[in-house]
Amino acid sequence: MTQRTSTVPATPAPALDAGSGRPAPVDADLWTAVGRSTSPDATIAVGEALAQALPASGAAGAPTLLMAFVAPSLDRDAVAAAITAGAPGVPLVGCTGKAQISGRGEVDDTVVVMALGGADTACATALVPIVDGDARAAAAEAAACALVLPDLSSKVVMVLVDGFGIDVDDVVRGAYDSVGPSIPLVGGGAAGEVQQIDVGLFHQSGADGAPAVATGRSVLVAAVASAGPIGIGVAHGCAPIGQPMVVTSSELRTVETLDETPALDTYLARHRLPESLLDDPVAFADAARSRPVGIVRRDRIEPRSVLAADRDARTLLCAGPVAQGGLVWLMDGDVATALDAVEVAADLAIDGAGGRARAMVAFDCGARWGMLGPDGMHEEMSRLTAHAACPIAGLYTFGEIARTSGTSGYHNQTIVLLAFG
Amino acid sequence: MTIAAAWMAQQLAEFSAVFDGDDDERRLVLALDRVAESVDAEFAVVVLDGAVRRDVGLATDQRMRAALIATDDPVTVLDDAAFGEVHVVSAPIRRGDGAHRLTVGRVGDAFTAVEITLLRSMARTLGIALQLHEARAVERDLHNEIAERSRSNARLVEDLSQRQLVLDHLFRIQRAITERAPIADVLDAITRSAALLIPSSILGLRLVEQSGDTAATIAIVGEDGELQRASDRIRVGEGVAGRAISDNCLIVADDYPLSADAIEAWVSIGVTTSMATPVRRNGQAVGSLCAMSWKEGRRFDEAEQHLLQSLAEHASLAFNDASALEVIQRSLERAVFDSHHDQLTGLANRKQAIERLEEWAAHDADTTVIFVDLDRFKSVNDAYGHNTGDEILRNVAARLEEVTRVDDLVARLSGDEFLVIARSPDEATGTDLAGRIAEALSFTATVERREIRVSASVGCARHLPGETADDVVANADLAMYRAKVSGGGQLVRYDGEMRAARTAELTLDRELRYAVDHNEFDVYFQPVVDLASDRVIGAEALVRWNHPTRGVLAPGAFIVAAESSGIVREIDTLATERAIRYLQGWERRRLVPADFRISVNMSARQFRDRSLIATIGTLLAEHDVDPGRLWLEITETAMMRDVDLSLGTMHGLRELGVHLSVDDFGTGWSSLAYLKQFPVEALKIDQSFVAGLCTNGDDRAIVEATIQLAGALGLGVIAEGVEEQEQADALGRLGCRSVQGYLYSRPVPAHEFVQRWLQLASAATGGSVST
Repeated sequence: MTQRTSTVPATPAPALDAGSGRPAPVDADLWTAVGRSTSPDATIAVGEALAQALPASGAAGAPTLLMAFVAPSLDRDAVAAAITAGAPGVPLVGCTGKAQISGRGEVDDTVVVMALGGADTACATALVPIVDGDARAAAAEAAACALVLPDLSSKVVMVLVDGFGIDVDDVVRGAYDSVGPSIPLVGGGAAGEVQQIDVGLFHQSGADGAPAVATGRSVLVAAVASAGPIGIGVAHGCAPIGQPMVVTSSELRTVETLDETPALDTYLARHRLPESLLDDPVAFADAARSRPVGIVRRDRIEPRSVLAADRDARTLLCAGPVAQGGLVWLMDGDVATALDAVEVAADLAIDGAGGRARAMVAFDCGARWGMLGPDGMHEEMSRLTAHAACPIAGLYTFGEIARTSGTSGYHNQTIVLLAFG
Repeated sequence: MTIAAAWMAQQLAEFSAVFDGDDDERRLVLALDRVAESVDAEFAVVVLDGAVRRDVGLATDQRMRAALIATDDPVTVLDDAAFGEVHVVSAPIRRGDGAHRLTVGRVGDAFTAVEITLLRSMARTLGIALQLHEARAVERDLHNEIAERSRSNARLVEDLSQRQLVLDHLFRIQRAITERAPIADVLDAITRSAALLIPSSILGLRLVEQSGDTAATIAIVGEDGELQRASDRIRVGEGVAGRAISDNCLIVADDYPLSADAIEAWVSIGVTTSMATPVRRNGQAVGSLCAMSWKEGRRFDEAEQHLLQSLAEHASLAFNDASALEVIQRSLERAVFDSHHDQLTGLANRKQAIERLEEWAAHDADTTVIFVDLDRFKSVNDAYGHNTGDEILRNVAARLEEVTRVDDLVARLSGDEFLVIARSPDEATGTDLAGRIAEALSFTATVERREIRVSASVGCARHLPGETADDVVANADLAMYRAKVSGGGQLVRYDGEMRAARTAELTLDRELRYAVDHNEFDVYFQPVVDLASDRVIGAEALVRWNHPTRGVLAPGAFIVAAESSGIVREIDTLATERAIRYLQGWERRRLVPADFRISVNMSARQFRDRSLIATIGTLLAEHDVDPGRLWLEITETAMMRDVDLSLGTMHGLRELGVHLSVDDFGTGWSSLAYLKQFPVEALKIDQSFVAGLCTNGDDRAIVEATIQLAGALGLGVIAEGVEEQEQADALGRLGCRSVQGYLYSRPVPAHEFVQRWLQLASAATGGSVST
């Protein structure tokens, strides 16, 4: 079933700063708050997080939008029921993540909720199931909700998707089909703990007191408009190694041969990884987290996470499509470069938000989370909060979305930061 | 390939891959996605006949949509209130009549030259795909009218197949570029595809040389699809191919003979139509892809012109890597040099020699052709190795250049064959030069401290009016052949009779091959008689050719020709097989006594055949003949040619149980030391000594010595050519027991031999000889 909602707004658009060309700081009527919980009980966790995020009754008005990032371990129906109970009638989008980000850098958060409100904000949401595998059509329909937003100066379409087994590039294309180049896209794929089978999307339309739902295999969109500037930062910490290779054989996400040589053999040899690593699929996945495949774009190389290897077929399974006939690099990264990336992304996002972030939403790659570990995550959040002294919420995703120019916007191994100025 | 070039090739490859499916509408959607994504453009639109067929990024922006539809400048910039500068590239989509365009817009960054080329290539590919799409739609409409429209449907299907084929080829080429195949391979693939996709035509790819004035042919593919390397050049600006380069645009000469761009040489060989389009690098023409046809009434239609342009753009794509162009230009220069020169000696090669000769022959210039072939060069190579052989060839080349004049052309044809083409006002001048060459090439070379004697067989022929280059070279070759068969190291001048003689030889050779295939060879038998008992103890099998018109021929009439052509080995084997077969029959009929033997001559060539032992063994086994009855006669010369090989062969034959004798003993130069080592059991005294036995003291002495030698070595001895009783008596007195010759019988056919000698002997039980 398709669900939609929209809220209606208020103020005029901010002007561009004549000197820097970036959006001038505007004191838009916008507020944010973040709530978090570490409770393993869905009802308690959602209740605690909502209680922290929602303003005291009558203090700042109802939120325009709630964003909820939930641990896959929680009972999804219980999460939906708790949302309905805790924030009735408030539009909400959310999904599960490898881990939740609250800006504190704690690994044990089970629910993180960000509330976005203010008279100078508006939002519309839509949840559209993917039928017959046509993710593009679902995304186009969902993103079309942005077309009803009022004419505020900044808009963004946040896309959450149950991304496993579908072409997320198609989700980006579908959303772009509807909103075109004037509205950027951000978001990511809901992540589970194991094999992406325990993922969930959460949506509450807010209309007519409809209850929140937990679902999968859908595209969930929250289109947000603000009178203040919105910035988006995208970065990864991987660098190409060696010489590029031709993908001489591939099938969607499975890379079969590189330069006519079995892809797995080439991968192990170039990274100097032992064959024995394949004895333990978990150990291989750990090693692969910092060693993606890089797809050559016009002016950049985009990493694609390597998820697994087929020892017998000597192939690599990647998180996104790797086109046959394309040119790829093997890439390498480490904790240090991954941490550098968060600072780069933060700078870009804050710059786009007029030099000051009043709230930040993070879509960080689950593979980066696996590589960083608890200490690295803590350090990552320290650096992020050092750059952006504002409420932060987000999650570690399975594939990231950020389209700011051109038409494509699917990423792996990447951190995407959305800043509201 | 640079990353930029690789990236572009990759984009094109991925773009073409979009057209793999069956769903035409979906393919168009994906194609436009790929266009936009490849260059990070925000907008892309396909406009067909002025209407938007499909767009990307324009659903919510009607103002931009209208602006892009209206744009037909190839490259322009729109100033948009919302987005600022929007850079736009608009490329025509070739698809029948009408205005069709692919227009792409990008916010901020201007398009690079590489990106513009990519987008134009995509537009062209899209045009081909759209035509396919439309043809499919028509096909669907026609589906219900199959009965009455079957013929047009067939054409349609063919058209569809052709267009799919085009896409397949483009995809393959793009893959080759993407996969960084060698540039020459990519260009070959493009030329081959062009020839295949543009039927009834010959395609040529040319590249401007570094001088900039000329373009050399990289590859030519004919109507048979075979790719040839050519070395011809065209002048930039001349002809259809040359003007496509100078004018940097498509040139079409529908009616070639009447075209202002026609080149007489092409007109004269019947070219009816031609077109050429530039191959570019960074927008500048660096070559051209040219199609021409000989077919009457043939015209290259618009679709074929677009296809040629598309393929040329793919070649341009391959050249986007700066080094690729330099690599091919360097290899081109090298190829042009190599195509005219022999790499070992630096002399001109056959191609250049023939070209020069054709040029002179066309003008009936006074020309002498001198054909040089080194004597025994193969033996030098075999004995001392190829390095030594090569050094001698270089030495010979230097001597030839020394002795010839600047205007003469010296070429190495192949192996140890050289050709000199000399201007000579009269026959004597040419012959003098040939003589000097023969003299200069008679020398002792010192290679790696070895002294090797070198000589050459030289033939010369003067070009006569009306003769082609091939004619005069063949004449000189024939004269050289005469010099060679006359012992080498000499000069022979061509005369008209040589041709007739050679023709006769060739006829004989042909007849011999026919004779082998049609069982025209047989063996005759000459009895071997034991002098003491007057008993026939064996026979020598002698090959005869039952020639269909010339009657029965003895080896003297054909053996030289058979040896020179190599067919002697097959004749020997046939003769041996025949002899064994006869013997088998005689054994079965109990016509021969236990000690009866058959002797067969072996040629030197057969004796050197490494399969000889197996052949003889097989024949004996197949016919179930006692090997002890078979004697093989080998000449001294054959045995001594390669002592080690001879020893091995002879021991192998002996192990089969076969006996060996030395034929024509005394005429060769056997070393007695070797004779002792060889496992032979008899010597045959040559008939020339027997002939003079009673009249010439020397001959008598030789015969006597031979018999004594045989006795000393424990060998048997047989005298052949015994024609008179006096000779037989003398041989008997000297201790020779076995004789053969006309005194007893000429060689006779098997049936006659049986009748005269075996049945008689059988009846008489150890019977006596009757003459």
